[in-house]
Amino acid sequence: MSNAQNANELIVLTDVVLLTAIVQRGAADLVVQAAQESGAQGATIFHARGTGMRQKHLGILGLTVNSEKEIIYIVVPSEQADRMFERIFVTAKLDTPGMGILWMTNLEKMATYVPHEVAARFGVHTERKE
Amino acid sequence: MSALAHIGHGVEKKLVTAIVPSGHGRLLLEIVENRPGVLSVTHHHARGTGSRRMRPGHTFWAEKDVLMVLVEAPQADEVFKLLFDAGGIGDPHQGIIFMEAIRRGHPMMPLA
Repeated sequence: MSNAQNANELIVLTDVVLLTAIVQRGAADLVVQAAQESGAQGATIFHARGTGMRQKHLGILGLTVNSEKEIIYIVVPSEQADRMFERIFVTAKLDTPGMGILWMTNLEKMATYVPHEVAARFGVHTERKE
Repeated sequence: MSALAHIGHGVEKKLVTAIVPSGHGRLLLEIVENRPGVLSVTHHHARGTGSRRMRPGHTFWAEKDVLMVLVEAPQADEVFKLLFDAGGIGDPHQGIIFMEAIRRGHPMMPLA
């Protein structure tokens, strides 16, 4: 936590997309690894529990679907989003019934730590307060 | 049209999500919960990875809090900035904050 008075400059990034995937517990690490290989800078994972209507129709196979889920958030630039979406879809085997779901939504804006040299390169600012 | 059809419409809202180091979620919640325009705040636990790298093939995981704030659109930018500053999100490894539009939303009802 930092004091607002000596906070760093707020650099807002637009044209970013939030990829959200819900997968069976234990599958998230593989998804994150694939996302990082295709350019993701980071990911956030948390646990949830869920089931789907389709699970009822899987019959005995429904028993193999774990109701314990992992939800993955990945924020990516718009131009990388489709490629990453497809990579995650394949890695998580989302074409298999019961494996999970994946969607992406537009973000209005995003902010995080931007290294000084990167910000300066884009002419965003020249001086960062310490 | 039933009364239910009006619920969640009317006031334009935004969802601000901040992913911050574990323990910061509660502190940020207390900072924003009584700000004008803030309708609901919730936080939960997560694990996250960022640009910090270990050996190839290994990922550095850190304990995180995910803070979600439902806020009226006119105050959304102010709340976004407040969370960014108070959470030190502009510092390395302190997380990320983002904002998205909400098509329809209803806050948690306050205790009577």
